[in-house]
Amino acid sequence: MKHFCLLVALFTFLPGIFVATGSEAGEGRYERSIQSVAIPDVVLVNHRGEKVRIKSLLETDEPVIVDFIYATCTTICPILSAGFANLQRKFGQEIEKVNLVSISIDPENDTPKAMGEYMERYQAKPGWDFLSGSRKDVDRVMKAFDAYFRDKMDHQPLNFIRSPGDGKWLRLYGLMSSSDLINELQKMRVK
Amino acid sequence: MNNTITNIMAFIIKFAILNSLILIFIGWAPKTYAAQDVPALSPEEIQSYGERMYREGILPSGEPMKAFVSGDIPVSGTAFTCVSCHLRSGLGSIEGEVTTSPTNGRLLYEPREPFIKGFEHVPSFHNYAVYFPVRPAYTDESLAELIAGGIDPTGRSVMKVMPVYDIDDSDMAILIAYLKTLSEKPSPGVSENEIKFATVIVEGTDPVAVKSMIAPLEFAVNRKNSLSKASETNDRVARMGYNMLGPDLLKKRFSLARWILKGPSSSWRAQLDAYYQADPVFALLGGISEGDWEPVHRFCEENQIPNILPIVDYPVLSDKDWYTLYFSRGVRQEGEAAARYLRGMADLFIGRNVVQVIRDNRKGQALADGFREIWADTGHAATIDIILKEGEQFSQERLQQIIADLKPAALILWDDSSALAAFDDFADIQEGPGLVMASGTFVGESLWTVPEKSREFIYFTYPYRLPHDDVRFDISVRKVLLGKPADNFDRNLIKQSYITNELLGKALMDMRGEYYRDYFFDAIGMMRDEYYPLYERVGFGPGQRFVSKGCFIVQLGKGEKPKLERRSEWVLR
Amino acid sequence: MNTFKIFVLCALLFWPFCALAVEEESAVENEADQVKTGQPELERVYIVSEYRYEPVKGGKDSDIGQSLCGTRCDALSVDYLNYTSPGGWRMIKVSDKQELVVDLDNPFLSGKCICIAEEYMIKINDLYMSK
Repeated sequence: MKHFCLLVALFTFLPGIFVATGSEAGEGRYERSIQSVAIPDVVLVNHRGEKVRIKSLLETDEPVIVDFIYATCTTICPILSAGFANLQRKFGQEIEKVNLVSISIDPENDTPKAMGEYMERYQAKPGWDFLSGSRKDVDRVMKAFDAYFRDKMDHQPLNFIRSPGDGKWLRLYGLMSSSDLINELQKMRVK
Repeated sequence: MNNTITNIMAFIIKFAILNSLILIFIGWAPKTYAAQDVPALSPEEIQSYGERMYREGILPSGEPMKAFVSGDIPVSGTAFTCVSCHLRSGLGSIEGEVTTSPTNGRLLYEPREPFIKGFEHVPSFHNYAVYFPVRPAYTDESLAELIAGGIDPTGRSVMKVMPVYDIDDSDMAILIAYLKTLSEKPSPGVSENEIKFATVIVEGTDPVAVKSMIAPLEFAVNRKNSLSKASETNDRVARMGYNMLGPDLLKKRFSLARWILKGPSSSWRAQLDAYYQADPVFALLGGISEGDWEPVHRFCEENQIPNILPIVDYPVLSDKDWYTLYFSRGVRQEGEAAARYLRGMADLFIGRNVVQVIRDNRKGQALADGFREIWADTGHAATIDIILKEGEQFSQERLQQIIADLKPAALILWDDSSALAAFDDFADIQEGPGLVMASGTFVGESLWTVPEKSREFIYFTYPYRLPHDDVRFDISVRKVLLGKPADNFDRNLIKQSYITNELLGKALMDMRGEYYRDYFFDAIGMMRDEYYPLYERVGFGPGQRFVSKGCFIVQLGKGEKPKLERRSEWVLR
Repeated sequence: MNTFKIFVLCALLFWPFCALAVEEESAVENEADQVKTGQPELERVYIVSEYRYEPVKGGKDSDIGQSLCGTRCDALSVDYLNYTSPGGWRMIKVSDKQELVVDLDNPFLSGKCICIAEEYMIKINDLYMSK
């Protein structure tokens, strides 16, 4: 009798718990895959107006996360950049250990000034670079990551995390929440 | 037996009550929003507070709105403003795989069906509505729940793409009141059967230039009106028009008024106001001025009237102004391109100067300003500027003196063709500058007659597609001339106006029957990059107001009939 | 005899069509000639896939050289959409990736700039009923 009542209580209780936690959280589903990327040796310019040789920026001993955005983007980029901003906030002092690189897919419009304003809006701290360059160089970088969009209007939400160990990149496709991104990064660092 | 059952039922009931209490304690109970009266503010105040919340993410108190992205960590609402996804008109956007639904009151308070009402059978229309599930109309309460809780009236969560905002009830009421006013009634200049346009012409402008600017615009208007008229009697045309434009745009006629501005530019504003008062138009198309454009720009900005692609050399440059779309940054853009090209090699100059020789007129000053603005960011020493006064010719002696005194690494020449003769014996000069840069449009036709021995060190800025590549686009330009001989017109201006004509058609078709001035620009902002005559590549984007962002650096090739050769890409960074 | 009659009949029937065909051919040729005088029908362009800068021994201008070499190679390269958008033209690949040495024409740089490009020929697209 007692056991029966307890069972009934449990079953009345459980749905309540499930409803209260987690179902509305916007945990987007995203796809993961591993790929090799041959970074082209091109020179881009960052939001501070400095020339950056991208090969040396990306092929380092620290983890790197790359995404493709542009300064006047409306829907996808705010989510990607909020993810980066949250990552920086979460890591606090340790932020230098992770390099965040956003590459502009609208280099015609994204001058260092425009990129600087974008970074200010997201309160970007050192360790996050926004790069632009010539159209053809940016195309080369996109193609190397297998993320080529002929027009910026067709772009997709993509994050790439590099594993310093074997130099391969983890491709994350989909709108991810910040906690998902942080989890993926932790997994990569542990490796 | 009965006892056991009653016991069990009592137990169940007690636990159910306890369950609910616990759940309410956790906070699962739906947040109830009492449709309270909007705080006692005037309609203008509500409009401006609501607009600030919508466009900048700042509450009436001045604090940023708090937003929660993807259900997790808070961000400042200024990074995630409503306008960034729903756009200024509130009619939503399509980007990549994400379609944002309209958020203006009129559409929110209507139930949503899988087709746009009235356009159920238009195949070419981007029936964005099919991307969204059917839902009932919103109410004030359910809208507040969406903004604060991320759940729509059907119980679906939107939190994957849309943030939830933590704002208090009175601010919520202001925001909802603002949304109700957003894109509510069609803009002035649009009636059931007509859309009115106008073009601004400054009196005294070269008549050939005016003719060249007007011809493609009149072509656009006439073509559209013929289509409307023919569709009334011809079924085949009616079908084609319906499929292409939709029933609403098909039946509307266009009209193009000419607003001629006389006298000094200080008097133009009054004339524009008078023209507008007499006959309000939906938008201004094209327009031409050889000098000032600022009064027209201000008029458009303050009255919120779109002006697309006026033909001007000195556009008003602003980061925030919204209502005028320009071809480029004008003459300045050449100066900026020259500076970017030199910036790439400036480290090699090892402290040597960069000298600008500037003709003291509006064009020369604009070129020099553009150069200086970009050069200032490089961290190199400022340029040494030498001004050529009115009537002063840039002679070979002057050039040699500059080289001897200042020993520049690079010499920038912002002058017309009369100055090119000074460079005839340049190759013989010892320790001269490594390169000379001039403006391709300033020197005009002399660009093609630079002597052979000078060609290898003189570079020009050229803000158009190279002529031998541009001939391929001539066939589309001939279309708007309708058989008239091209020699009667200015080729470049015809091409520019051709772009205006194309853009107008595309934007109106994309608007899907929602005639709002802000949406006109929002639709243009979502267009893909295009390859039109004259400019190598034109690009758009939300909030971007200059369609051509590039300018080549070129040199003249060898031989008797030389071609221009590129030395840089279209857009230098 | 019968076969012969049929043959003559067929010849007479098809004669007008032959005449038409000849007419069409010459019309096309005339048009092609017209365009030829307007601009060369065969133009060769490059599409550059990558580039590198080889500084002279001991040279320290590797980064600037790479950047300027990039500018030059990208200037040499064309945007294929400029040829395919207007309609009526097509690009035919003439050679695979070849290395081109581009003169940087810069007295301040001494290294060599190499672009790896494919060569294309631009022809009028007379294969299809294009725009």
